[in-house]
Amino acid sequence: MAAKRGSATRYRRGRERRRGKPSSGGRLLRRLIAAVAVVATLGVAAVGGYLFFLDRTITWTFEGRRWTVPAVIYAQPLELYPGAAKTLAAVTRELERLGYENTADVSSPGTYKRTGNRLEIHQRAFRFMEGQRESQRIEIVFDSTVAEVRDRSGRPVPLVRIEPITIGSFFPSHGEDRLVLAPEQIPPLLREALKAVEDQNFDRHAGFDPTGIARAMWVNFRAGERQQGGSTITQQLVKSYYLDNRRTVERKLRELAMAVILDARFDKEDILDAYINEIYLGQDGARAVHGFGLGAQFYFNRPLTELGADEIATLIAIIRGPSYYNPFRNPDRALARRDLVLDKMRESGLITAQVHEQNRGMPLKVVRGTRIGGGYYPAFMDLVRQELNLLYQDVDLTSAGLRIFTTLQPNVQDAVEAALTGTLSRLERDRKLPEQSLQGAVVVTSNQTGEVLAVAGGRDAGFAGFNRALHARRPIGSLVKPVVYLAALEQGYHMATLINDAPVHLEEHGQSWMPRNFDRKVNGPVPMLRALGDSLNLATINLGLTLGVEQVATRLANLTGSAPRNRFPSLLLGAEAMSPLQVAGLYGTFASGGFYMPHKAVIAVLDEAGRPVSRHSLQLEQRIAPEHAQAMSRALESVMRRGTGANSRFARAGTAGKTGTSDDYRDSWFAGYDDAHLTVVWVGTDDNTATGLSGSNGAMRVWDEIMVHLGVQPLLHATADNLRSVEYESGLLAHAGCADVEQVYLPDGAALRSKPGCGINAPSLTDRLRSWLGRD
Amino acid sequence: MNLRNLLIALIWAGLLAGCATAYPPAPRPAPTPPATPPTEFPQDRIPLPDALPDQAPMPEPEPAPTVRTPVDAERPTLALLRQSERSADSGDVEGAIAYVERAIRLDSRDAELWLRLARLQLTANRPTIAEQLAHKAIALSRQQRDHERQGWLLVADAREAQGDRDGATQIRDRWRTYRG
Repeated sequence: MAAKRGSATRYRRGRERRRGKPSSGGRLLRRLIAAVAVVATLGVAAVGGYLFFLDRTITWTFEGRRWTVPAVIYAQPLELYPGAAKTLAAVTRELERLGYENTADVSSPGTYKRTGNRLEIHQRAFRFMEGQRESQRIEIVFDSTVAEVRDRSGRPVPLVRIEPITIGSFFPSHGEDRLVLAPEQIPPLLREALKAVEDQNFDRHAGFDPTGIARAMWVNFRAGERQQGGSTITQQLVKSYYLDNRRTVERKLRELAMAVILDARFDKEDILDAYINEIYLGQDGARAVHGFGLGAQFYFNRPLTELGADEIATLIAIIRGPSYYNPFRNPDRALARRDLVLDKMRESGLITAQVHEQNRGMPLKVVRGTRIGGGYYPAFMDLVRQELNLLYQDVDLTSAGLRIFTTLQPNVQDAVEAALTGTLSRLERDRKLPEQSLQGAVVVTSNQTGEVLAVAGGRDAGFAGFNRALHARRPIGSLVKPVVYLAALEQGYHMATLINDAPVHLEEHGQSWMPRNFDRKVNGPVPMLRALGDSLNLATINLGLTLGVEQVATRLANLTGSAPRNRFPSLLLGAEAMSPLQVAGLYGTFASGGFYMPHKAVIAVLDEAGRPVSRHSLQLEQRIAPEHAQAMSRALESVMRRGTGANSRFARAGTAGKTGTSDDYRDSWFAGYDDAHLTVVWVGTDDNTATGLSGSNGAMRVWDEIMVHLGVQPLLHATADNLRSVEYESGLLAHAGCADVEQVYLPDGAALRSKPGCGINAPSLTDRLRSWLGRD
Repeated sequence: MNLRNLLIALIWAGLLAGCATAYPPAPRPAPTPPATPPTEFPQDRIPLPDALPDQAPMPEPEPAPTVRTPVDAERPTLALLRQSERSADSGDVEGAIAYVERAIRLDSRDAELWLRLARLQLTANRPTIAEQLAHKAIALSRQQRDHERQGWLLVADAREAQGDRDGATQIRDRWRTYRG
């Protein structure tokens, strides 16, 4: 190594000798140049790298964001046809919810006119599941229901739909929502007015506008306040896309750089469309309102295409400061700025002097309290999300622009919300309970399809908090009893079979347990019909023990789709926690004539182009034999007529149901149905304290109130040869004209004693007369 | 925007720009296919009018391979069944199913509608679902023996499609000769 080092040193010295010794100034200059060259190279590389990075960021985001459309969820559309049970008031309410305007003529879509019992509607175009429905004019004539439906030329049509309300959208986790507009959905007046007000040189500048900045400074200086901003539309878009609100030089420079790149990369048209869909226009609770599409819905409850010049001017006015110019909170400020925008529109020749004159000074026309896009039902939305999460990942739901058609019926949902809130307040007042101490949950399904029509997750239905309908699992009490009686029917019992309502002593978890009846009485032998109707604990537990707890547990698992955790005798009295939705599954099987139907909230999912991504067809499975399903349904009708449901105002209106109360009155349950709707109601408290409410004086009152709104459609039963009249109290065969008689199915060969007196074996009046006259 | 302009813009922007702190957003993942195999749907669906005016050109129904129960002309469900038939005839079985389901929402106790639905599900090669729907139609037939018979014959077809030839034969033997 030393030899090598010596030879290298000699070589350098040799070279220095050959070139001559350089001056120190020249060496310094060379070093300086070299250093500058290195720094410049590094600088160019760094700037180039950074610009490349910015360019990629902008391109990536802009192209991605342009197509980021959250999934939109629709309720069921209102179907109108001759005979439909819809009143004129109900249809008008639906139209108003959709933002239809009551006008003298119905010349434009989104308007209606009422004349006596007639409703003329100019419907908006809408893309339904089956395809596009163009805007059309129809006429509906009402009596107590829909009497006639006619087209524009007066010809009858069998069926027409009102477009569904939007009940929500799956928006990204940061709380932004938008209703993305396609270019053809953007009114030309909005484009031009935005340029006139926000960025006069938009079509000419390269992303930023020094003359615009100078003009804004001059205007603001003269006005003594900030009237104009210097940021171009492109800069505002960049700020909304990528940057925070810090006012630092670094942030401003980056904004400028990105605006220039954006302008260089994309067409002006695309940038303006993106701006229209992106710009922040206000706050709706936790949701930020972005874009003019959603802004039009939020402030005017109408589509952007239906807005007039003054309303468009209001939205443009809000851009400058959505909080400062909030038309709800600061209407004077908003109105003054709206008029300023109208002036600008006139100056730019976008509106005529006449339109300017007509609109200036007009009221703002904003609609307070509208739920964005028509409705906001967080509890139902939970169910939709739960169902879709089985099929899709979250990212698909928030960004693929899906259109989701659901089973929600807004009129049923409204009835449920009103009934729950009102009844809980009344119960608190009547029973001297602290205000807001009670909570509740409701699920309503369609009897024959299992489709969920309404969900209330708590008394404040608009609050997206804990959803008790889906997630609160509470002991169901006597709601379990029909399963015990069904298991008995399947083992050869019938509803007139006598079972023993006698004391029983049990050991469970090493503890002694002596269940009692609700009224603490012991009734001895009673027919099953009465044991179920009066919800007798002792009779039920004796029956269940005879059948076997495991047998009942297996049957319950089969009817609900999930195995009960409790496998002890207390299961027979409902010591098993279930959610209202699960209970709806259980009772849905009784209400549908024995068909188990998985609960369903989504009908179909379509992609942005309207192609079906998935359809959720009706599915069911027969899990109770028809004869047993009919027997149970009749028995549950007896519960209403003569048992624990007798206090309902609809007890004798052709309804079926069952009450449930858990230990110490902690949970009050009711499951009831008519021919159309199954409803499950839970009432209790969140901290599981006693309320003093039984199923019949708590949850059933909520159900009563719901049915007042919905109207009862009496249950229909198939006729059958083996129906017999029996006395409710004794189970004896009795004449149909006797008091307290119910119809039960008796299997062939079932021997039953007859009731004397008005019983069927009592001689007729003619026989008695003959006997008395001695003519026999 | 040509390359030269872009370069100018980039240099312009570079001179103005400060240091970077922003990160590019994660790329949008491709839509994830449903967890269960998706049903195939035709992509070229024809938009159908929502209102079903009497004067609308309704092609005369082709002779159907199955029995069609006459339905009252005033009933909206009839209009939907016609639409369903048109969809089915054009090969859009899923669309046809959707129309019948819509009709069921209007009148969920009409056994005829459940029979139609069962038949379409069988056509769509879902015999298990079809069998249960046929049972539903039978349960709702309310002593209408013809509906009951049609329902059981559909159950037989569904059973056969599931490989239960003996079960299908037994049902057919019982119901084929029945005249309601």
